[in-house]
Amino acid sequence: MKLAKATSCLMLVALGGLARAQPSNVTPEGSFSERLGGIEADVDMIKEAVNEPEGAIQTTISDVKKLKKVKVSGYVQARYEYDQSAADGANKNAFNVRRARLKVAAQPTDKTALTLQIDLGGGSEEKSVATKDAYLEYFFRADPFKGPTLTAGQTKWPFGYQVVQSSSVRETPERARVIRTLFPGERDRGVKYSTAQDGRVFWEAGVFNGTGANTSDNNNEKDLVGRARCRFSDNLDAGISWYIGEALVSTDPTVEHDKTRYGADFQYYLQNTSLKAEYVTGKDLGFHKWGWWAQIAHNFTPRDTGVVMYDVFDDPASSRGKLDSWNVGWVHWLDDTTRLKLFYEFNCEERDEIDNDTLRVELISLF
Amino acid sequence: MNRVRLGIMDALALVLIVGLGLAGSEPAEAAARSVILKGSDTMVILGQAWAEAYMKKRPNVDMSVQGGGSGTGIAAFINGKCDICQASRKMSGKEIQQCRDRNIVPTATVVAMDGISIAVHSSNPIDSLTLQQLKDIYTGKVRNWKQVGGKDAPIIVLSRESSSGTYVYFQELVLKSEKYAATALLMPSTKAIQQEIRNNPNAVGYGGVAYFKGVKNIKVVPVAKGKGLPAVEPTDENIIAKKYPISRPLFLYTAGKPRGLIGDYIKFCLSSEGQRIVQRVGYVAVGKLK
Repeated sequence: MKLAKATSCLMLVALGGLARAQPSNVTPEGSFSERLGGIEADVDMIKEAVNEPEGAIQTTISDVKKLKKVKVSGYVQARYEYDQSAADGANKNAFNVRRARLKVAAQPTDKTALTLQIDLGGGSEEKSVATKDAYLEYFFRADPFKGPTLTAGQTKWPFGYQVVQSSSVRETPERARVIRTLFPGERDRGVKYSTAQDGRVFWEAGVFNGTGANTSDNNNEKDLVGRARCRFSDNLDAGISWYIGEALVSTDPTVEHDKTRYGADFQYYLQNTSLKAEYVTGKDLGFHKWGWWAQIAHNFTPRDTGVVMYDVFDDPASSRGKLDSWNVGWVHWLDDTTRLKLFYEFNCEERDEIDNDTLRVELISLF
Repeated sequence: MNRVRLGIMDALALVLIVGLGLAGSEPAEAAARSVILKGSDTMVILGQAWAEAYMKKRPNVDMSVQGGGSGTGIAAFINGKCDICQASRKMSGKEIQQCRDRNIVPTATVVAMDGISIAVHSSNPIDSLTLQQLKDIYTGKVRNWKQVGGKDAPIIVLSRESSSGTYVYFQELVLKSEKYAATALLMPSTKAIQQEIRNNPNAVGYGGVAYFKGVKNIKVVPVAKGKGLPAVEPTDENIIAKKYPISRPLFLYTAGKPRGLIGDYIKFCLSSEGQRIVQRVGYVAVGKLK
């Protein structure tokens, strides 16, 4: 439409110019036919300028198309946290930036994409900048929803539901404890193959270092990670996951331990309500650790969601034994991109119970 | 600075009070009596006709019908900005996932059928096109009408913008997911395509059948599935019988199974009266007509 408008404007200018340029001594008949010929020539010239690849408009279109191949996105999670468990004299409450992500994704060709994501918030590690994602993807059919994808670099482990779910869309401020403990950072370096995401059955599997993000490999063994998900209906998804690998103990780098995780998850959606659960069990540095979480979320209005999540984690390495948590909260959409979250986490230890509940008030905004 | 002292019950009460307070800020009465429909430009005229008839039956209900394209409507639906999304294509896997991230189950109801018509200026001598010829024209492989049996003149290719469901459907079905030619002019609405064709003897465009049927200076071109096969016109009979190769269902998307006021409206759309409106506007009815 813009081209059509531009052409029309140019034609009007050309007509005006021609009208002024006509000599006064030509006959009316000659004047008309000459004018018509001139107009036709000018229209051809304008069409050529618009349609030819070297034309200014085409160059602009080409430049815009190149720019559209690069997408910049991100989000900031600004939080106030009140933590009962802080030692006496230490800060029990503080403001922090839990996540400040900047993501750049480029798709130089139909079948190749590159993604870089950094975190500038520091999170709990208080590092200033950390690389989160650095991977390239090859789409076998130019669309990851319609065909398989090969991913290489630093990316998320293809395991379960919460590991791969972005923090930018999750209702609760943090993942379940079992996920946070067994999949710290959720990322690793390796390569994975994924089937078409639109398929009724979707699976992905990969080979990874097993040492996590931003860390070099420390052994010759590679970890095998994968998941398979079936869409049973419009309302129900369920999946299984596996992680089979080896890990070295920092105190004795010559001894390798089994590092395994097996998981099952489901998500059920019903008229503005979702019910999700995930179970994970595995061996970690000689200990059998397991846990599960279940969550119900209901949209009370299009802008308000109430959330309750129950989270269990049994870590034999912990002196307090099994830990149960209730996360009760509310999510309010201030606009299309910004949410206000209010969550209270009740924690209950199996042994030597302590006061360690946490209140989180958070603003998260995406761009 | 540890001045904040909260007990567990205090905190829980705070979460619930603030949460309920925020939820209460939504104008409940307005939500109960007004319905916002947004999405497909192809379906705007149909949605407006339905809404007008429905408001006559339910004078206390305020219906607002907005266009913008199926993609725009789906985005608004995900963000809770409309109650019903009018879409001329199915939601993509990515869009369904975005709905789920917001705890919404997108439920599609087929309310009419449409044949995507191929339109040219009435002076254009072309009397039929195959799907392959259409693909070649829209991907830029063929640039002159002479190459498809017409006059020696450049083809001015008109398309909808990428936010349009018709754009996506046409790309998938006719272009086999290949890219549109860089020279294709992206028009903001089917109405704009209609107007451009009326004024341009070399233009070709596509859109909902209702926009081209019986319009002055416009000719609807029959389409053949392949070379040597009969070219078929986008008539009701051919669309229902699936003889016309570029036909598609038109959807109303709701959050979950349609209930209450929204359910009542969709029931009306599928009623005999609603389906007669479908025919009057120029699309193909899917329900029984009395």
